[in-house]
Amino acid sequence: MSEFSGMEDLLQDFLVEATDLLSDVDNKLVDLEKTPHDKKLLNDIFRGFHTIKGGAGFLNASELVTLCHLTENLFDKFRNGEMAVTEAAMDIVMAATGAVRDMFSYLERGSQPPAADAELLAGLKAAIAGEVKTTKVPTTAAIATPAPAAAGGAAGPDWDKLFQVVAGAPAATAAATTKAEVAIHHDVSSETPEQIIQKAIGRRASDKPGYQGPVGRRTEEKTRDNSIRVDTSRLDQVLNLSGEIGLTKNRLTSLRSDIINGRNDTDTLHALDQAVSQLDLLVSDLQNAVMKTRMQPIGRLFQKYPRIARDLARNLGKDVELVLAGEDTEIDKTMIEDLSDPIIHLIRNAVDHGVEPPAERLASGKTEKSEVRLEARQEGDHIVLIVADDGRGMNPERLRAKALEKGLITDEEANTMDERQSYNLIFLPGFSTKEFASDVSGRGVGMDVVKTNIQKLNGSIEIRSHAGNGTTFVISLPLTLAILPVLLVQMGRQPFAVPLSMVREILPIDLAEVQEVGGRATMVVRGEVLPVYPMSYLLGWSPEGVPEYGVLMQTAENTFILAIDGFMGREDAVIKSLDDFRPKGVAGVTTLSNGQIVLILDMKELLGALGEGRGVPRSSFISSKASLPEKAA
Amino acid sequence: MAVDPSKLKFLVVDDFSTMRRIVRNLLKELGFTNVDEAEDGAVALQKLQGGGFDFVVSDWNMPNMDGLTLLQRVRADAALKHLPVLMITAEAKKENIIAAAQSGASGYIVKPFTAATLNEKLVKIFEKMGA
Repeated sequence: MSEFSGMEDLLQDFLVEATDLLSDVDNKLVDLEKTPHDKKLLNDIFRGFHTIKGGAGFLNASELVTLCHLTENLFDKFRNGEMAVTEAAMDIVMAATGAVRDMFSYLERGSQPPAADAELLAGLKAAIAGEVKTTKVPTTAAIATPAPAAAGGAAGPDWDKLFQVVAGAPAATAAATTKAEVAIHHDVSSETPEQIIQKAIGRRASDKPGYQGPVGRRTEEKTRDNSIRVDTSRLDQVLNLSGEIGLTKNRLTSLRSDIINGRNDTDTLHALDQAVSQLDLLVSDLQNAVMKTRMQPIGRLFQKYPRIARDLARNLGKDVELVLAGEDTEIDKTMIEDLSDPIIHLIRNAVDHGVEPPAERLASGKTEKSEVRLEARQEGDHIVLIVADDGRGMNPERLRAKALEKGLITDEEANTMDERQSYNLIFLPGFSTKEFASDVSGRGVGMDVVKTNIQKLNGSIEIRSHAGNGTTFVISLPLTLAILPVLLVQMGRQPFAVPLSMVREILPIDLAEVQEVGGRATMVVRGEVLPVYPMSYLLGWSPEGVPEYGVLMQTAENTFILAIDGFMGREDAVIKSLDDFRPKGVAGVTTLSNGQIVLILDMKELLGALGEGRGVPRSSFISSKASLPEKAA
Repeated sequence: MAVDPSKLKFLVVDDFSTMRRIVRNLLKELGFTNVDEAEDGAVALQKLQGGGFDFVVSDWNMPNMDGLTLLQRVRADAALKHLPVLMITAEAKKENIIAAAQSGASGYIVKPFTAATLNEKLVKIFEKMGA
C-alpha cells in the first residue's frame, strides 16, 4: 500500500462508497437504455461519475479522474440535450464503467491505476468532440480563458481570480443545441461471456489474459472484504444490551455472596431465579443484535446483476430484462460474498440456456423480450433466493439422454428417474462442462460448482421447470452461518447432531417393513422407495439394538432414511469447528445446555464414504452382537 | 486568524460520505473541530434553519437539492443570509463560477485541494467578513 501511505483509511472508505455508487450507475445505465430521455437518470449518472472523480482527485488517482471526467462530460452533453443517447454511445459508456471498475481493483491492491485503454479514451473524446465539429463553442462574455482539460492539474488556472472578476459581472451563456451521432469502436458482441462477467465484477483484473498489473490481490482484497458498514442504531442496541447484561451480572455477583454467606431464604432464591431469567433473555437478545450487525441488504449484491444480464443478453443476441425483487431482504455478510458467483452463473444459465432467441419466442407466441427474475425473501428462519426465467423450460428426457451419453448415469438409473431427479442431473460434475468451461476465467464453472457453493452455506437448491414456461431455481439458505438448527439423535445413549435443514420427518421403523432391494435395505414411504442407512453402520459402530426410528433426510442429490435408536429434540447449535483435527464425517462440535459435547455430523461425507453403490444390506440392521458387517460396494 | 477556530461551527454538505470525511479532516487540521455534516442541500437547509451554524462548506452536485440551490435558499433567508458559504466542486467551469458568484457564494474551491488551499480561502473569507 506504499502509494497510499497515510491515506489507507480514506482509500478504503472511497472504495466501499464508490463501488456501490458505480454499481448504481451501472443499473441506471441499463435503465437508460429503455428510457434514453429520462432526465433524472441522466443527471444521476452524471453525478455518479462526477462524485467518483471528486474523490479520486484527493487520492491523486489522476487516470481515474481523467476517465471519469471524460465520461462525465459526455453525460453533461446528454443531459443538456446537446447530444442524443445512441446505442454506440451507450456501448462506450458501458466500457467506461468497466474501466472504472478495473481501476478500483488497482486501488484495492494499493497501486495507482494506469491510464485507461487508449481506444476507450479516444472513443470518449470523439463522442464529446462530436460537438466541436458540428457546432460553435459557447463562450461567456466576461473572460476568455482556455477551458482546462481536467481538474486536478497542479498548475490549474487561477479560479480565485476568475471568481473575483466574474462576481457580479453579468454573463450571457449561450445555449447550444446540437445532435451529434458518434462513432465508437467498441463492440460488446465480440466479448466472451466470461469477459463480460469479469468486467462487471471487476475484482479479478489479474485473471484476464494479457494482464500486466500487480499480482497478489488476495491479501489486499481481504483487508477490504473484512470491513462492514453497520447502521449506528444497531450498534447502539448492542451497546445497550451489553450494558444491561453488566447490570444483571452485578446483581448475580451480589446474590452469590449472599448465598455463600448462608442466605437461602425464598426471597433470595426468587431474586436469583429472576436474575438468571433476565440474563437468559438479555443474552439471546444480544445474540440477535450482534447477528443483525452482520446482516446486509441483499440489494447490494443484486445491483451488479442487471448490467451483467444486459451484456450477456446482447452478446447472445437476446433481449432480456432482469427484474429484481426483495432487495431489502437482509442476509449475513459472509453469505452475500459467497453467493455472488453462484447467482451470476444462474443468471448466465437463464440468459444463455433458459430463454429462447427472439425468433423462437415469437414463434411460440411469447413476447420478444424475455424476463429473468431475481428475487429474495425471508421465509421463517430461511432466506429464499429465486432465479426464474420465462424461457422454454427444461426437457427431462433430453437431460437424461445427455447424462447417459456422457456416462454419468446408467440405463437403469435413467429409466427410474422422475422429473425432479432428471432436472438435478445438471448439478452432476461433468454434465455441463462443455458449455461452461472457459480458458478465460480458468475457473471450473459449472452448475455443480453452484450447488457445492450453496451447500457450503448449509443451503439447498431446487429446480422447478415447466415445458414452455420457463425454469425456476430456488435457493434456500439459513439466516446465518453462526447458528445451525440441529436435530439431536441418539445412538445407544450417545447423542449426535444432524442439520435440521435436511430433516423432513421422523418415522418409526418396523423391521418387517424394511425390504432388501438389490442388496440395499429400503423402506417404502408414501409410495417412494427410500434407502435406509443405520447410523451405527455409517459411523462404523457395532449396532447395539434394532433402530427404532428413522429420520427422513433430504440432500440435493438424494433422499434417505437414517435409522437411529432415539432422538432428543431440536437445538440451536453454536458450531465450534475442529480446526486441525477433523475426523471424517464430523462437521464440528457443539455444547448442549448441560455442558455435554456433541458431534455435528456431516451427512454428505458419511454417505460419500459408503461408495458408489450407496446401499446398506438389510442384515446390517439386525442386532448381531457378533461381527460388524463388511461395507457394501 | 482573528477567530477562535474551535468556536466556529461548520456545516459540511456533500452526498459522498468519503468527501465529507475528507473536508472534515482538512478542517480539523486547521483547528476547526466543531463540524456537522449533511448529505444534501435539503438536509443542510433544515439543519441551518435549526440555527447555531457559523460557516457552510457545500458541494455543488447533489441529489434532492444541489449546492447552488442551497446557496440561493440561504441567501434568500433573512436569518441565514449573512452565513459565509464556501462552494466546493470539481466543476472547473466558467459558467459554474459565474453562477456561484452571482448567487452570492463567499468563495469557490476546486477539487482536489489541500489544507493549505482551504485555509487560504477561509482566511480570505474571514478578512472580508471582518471588513
